[in-house]
Amino acid sequence: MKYTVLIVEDEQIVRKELEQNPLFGKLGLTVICSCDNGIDGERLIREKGPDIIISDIRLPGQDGLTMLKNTQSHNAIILSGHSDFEYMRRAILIGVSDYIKKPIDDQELIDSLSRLIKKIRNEEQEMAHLGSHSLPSYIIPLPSKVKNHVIDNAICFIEKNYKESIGLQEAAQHLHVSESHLSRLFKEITGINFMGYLNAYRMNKAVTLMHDPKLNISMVCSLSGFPTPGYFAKLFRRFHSMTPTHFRDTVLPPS
Amino acid sequence: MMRRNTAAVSRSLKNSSLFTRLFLSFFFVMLIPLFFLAVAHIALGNNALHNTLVQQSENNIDIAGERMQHLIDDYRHKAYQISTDDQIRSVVRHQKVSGGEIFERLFSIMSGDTYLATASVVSKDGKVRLSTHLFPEQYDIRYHSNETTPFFEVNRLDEKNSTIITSEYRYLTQTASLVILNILRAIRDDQMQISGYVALDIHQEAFEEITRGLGFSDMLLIDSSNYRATSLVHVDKNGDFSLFPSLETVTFPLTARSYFTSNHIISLFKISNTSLYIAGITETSRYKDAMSQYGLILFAVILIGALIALSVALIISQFIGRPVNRLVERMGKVENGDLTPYRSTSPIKEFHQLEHSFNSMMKQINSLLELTREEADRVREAERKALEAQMNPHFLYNTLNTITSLAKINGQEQIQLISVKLGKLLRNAIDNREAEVTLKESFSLIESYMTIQHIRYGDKLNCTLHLDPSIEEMKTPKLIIQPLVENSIVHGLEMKMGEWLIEVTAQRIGGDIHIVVKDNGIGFDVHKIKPDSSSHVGIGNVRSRLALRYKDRSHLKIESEPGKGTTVTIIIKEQKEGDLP
Repeated sequence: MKYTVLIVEDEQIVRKELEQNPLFGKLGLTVICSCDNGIDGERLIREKGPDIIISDIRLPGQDGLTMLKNTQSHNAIILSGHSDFEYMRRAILIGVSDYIKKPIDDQELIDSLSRLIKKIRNEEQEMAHLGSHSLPSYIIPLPSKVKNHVIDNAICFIEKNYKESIGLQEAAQHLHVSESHLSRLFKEITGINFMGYLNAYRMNKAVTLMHDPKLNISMVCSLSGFPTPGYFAKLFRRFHSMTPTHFRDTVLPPS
Repeated sequence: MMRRNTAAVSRSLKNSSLFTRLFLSFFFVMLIPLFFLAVAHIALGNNALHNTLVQQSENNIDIAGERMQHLIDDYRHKAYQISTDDQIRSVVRHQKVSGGEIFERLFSIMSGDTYLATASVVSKDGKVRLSTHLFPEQYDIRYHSNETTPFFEVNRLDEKNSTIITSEYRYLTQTASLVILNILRAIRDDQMQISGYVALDIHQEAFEEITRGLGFSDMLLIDSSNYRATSLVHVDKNGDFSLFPSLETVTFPLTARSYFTSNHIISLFKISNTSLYIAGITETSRYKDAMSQYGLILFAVILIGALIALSVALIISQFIGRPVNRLVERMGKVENGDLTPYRSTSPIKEFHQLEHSFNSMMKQINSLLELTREEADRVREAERKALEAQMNPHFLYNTLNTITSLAKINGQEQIQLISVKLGKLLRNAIDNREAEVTLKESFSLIESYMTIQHIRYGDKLNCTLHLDPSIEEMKTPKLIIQPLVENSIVHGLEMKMGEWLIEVTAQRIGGDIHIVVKDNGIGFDVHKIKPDSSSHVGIGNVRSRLALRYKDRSHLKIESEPGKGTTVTIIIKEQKEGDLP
């Protein structure tokens, strides 16, 4: 399966060069679109739901980090002339995958993209694995009581706040543990990544909501806590191997 | 030994605290009067006591002597009366006188003193024997030869001075009184021829009046004619001087009124017209005991005094020393960086002033520090502004990035390469805030540098890099290898014709890390190297940073031969356990 890439870079020459760069093709990636500011970037992320975002930090409109945070995009590579510590810290906090300093070395970009592709593939496999157990109700079975104080609290946190824009960082803050510790412990105890669990939980909520014919897809999406309909659709496809619309039309019996 | 001790004491005093010095000074000052008091009492006390005792002894012996003189004169007169009494003279001339009458005469002369003395009269042939008591056998001339009678000496006297007073003829009377003194006198007829003798024996009781109430431990009656003495108190003590150890220093005729032995004071009085002396003995051991007891009390008093001096010295020293100690403590705190002023509390004016001055000094220092801090802040702010005014490196990187992209779009691979590598070099040199980097990063930097140099110089520059994978993650101070490589190119290769070779190797040999930069440049004579040459700034910098990081665990070695090339080796020795990281 080909993954899609969005490039956000305000310098025309640099953006054009990246778009034409053959390395994406070699890695099996497709650059679906590009833009030169943060506002368009956010809009395109919501509309197109790219798998990978490559973005400059300093952008007209809003900076790259804010854009990524607003759309809860984790699979992103930041490009910057800055090696400012403050930027780095913020990038790590919002879960950006990698950080490449300008001038861009092709080899560095290839290494970084390869790592990211591997990560996405793992996530997909996990989602497909979880989804395969959900038939026939399309509700993904998730552990809810694991007899670990921290993880039980984390699951509880998810159950209460799934509608909000939350992630690993917020959960860790709420539980007063470090993100890496929570991440490791969560995987160890439940066998699922934290984000995987959160997405699966939201997905279950969305499937339940879709039984209500009065709600359209984008309402279901926001009620179940997904940042964008595109992202929701993509995840739905990954979990249940079909689009949300298709699911409604074919699986749910007409009321 | 003593001197060494003193030296040690004075040495330890040199480093002693003010408190100790004050304390010792006060203590010794307070001890001085006590010390003199003790000395005065020991020296003067004994002397004064002795003098007083001698004075008292002499006064008393005068009294005793007067009494004795009076007693002897009295009885001598009685003896005289008896010897000149007509009736008694008649009796001894064998002229009949009625018995009652003659005894009446005798008793009347003795005038009732017969319990103190025995008066005896004997005729020259011993046929007439009269006595107030039982006639003493020793005066019975019939049983004695002329030489052995007590009156032998009397016979030899002239007419005028015809009395002998002696203590030689002691005996017990029938009333058990001891006779101590004999007064012997001749009775002469009208032709002044001796017709009989009078013996007046004085009993011990007569002397009791003399010895009474004088405080002597013993009184002696000494006869200097035959060197015999009799105790008037312990009457059984009678004999030559060997019996009386107190008399051993006495000589006759007297040269002083009193004589001394270690335990006695003996004062003497000569009875006039006799060879007799009366002596009073005072035992001094009794007084000496009292004196030593007194000394003990004095010692105890001095000890208590010393203890009081000790505590008073302690209190005063503390009182004076405390503010100084506080000040010293404060100064110690100041030494450690605590500059807060403290409240002065000393009631001593000078110390108060001192503390006050110290405090105002602290305040001044504080305000100076404040000024300096503000100044430093201003300087820092100015520096920051100056930096801001400089060209933004961000702009530089972005421009390099644009060049890279342009080069790529236009197929200029070398431009792309050189701008990417230059960007990496600049980042390493300018941006990297870490003091230490891994060897892998160092080698990547060298690789970037060499890539650029290779583009510049073409194929004649041949570079080999070898990094032992096992030490890739080892950290060293940054920029310790690159300056060596740069040196090789700038000072070794640039002037050289033909092929340029640079070999950079980092490997583990044993436990040590060897980093070698080797070139085949023009080389130089190691011994002629100028210490201040520009190439040495780089090497010196590397060397000092290595020393700073590894102390003596690192070593930088330069080997070079003109025409052949130069090899610079950095050796970092294995860290031993216990070494600081």
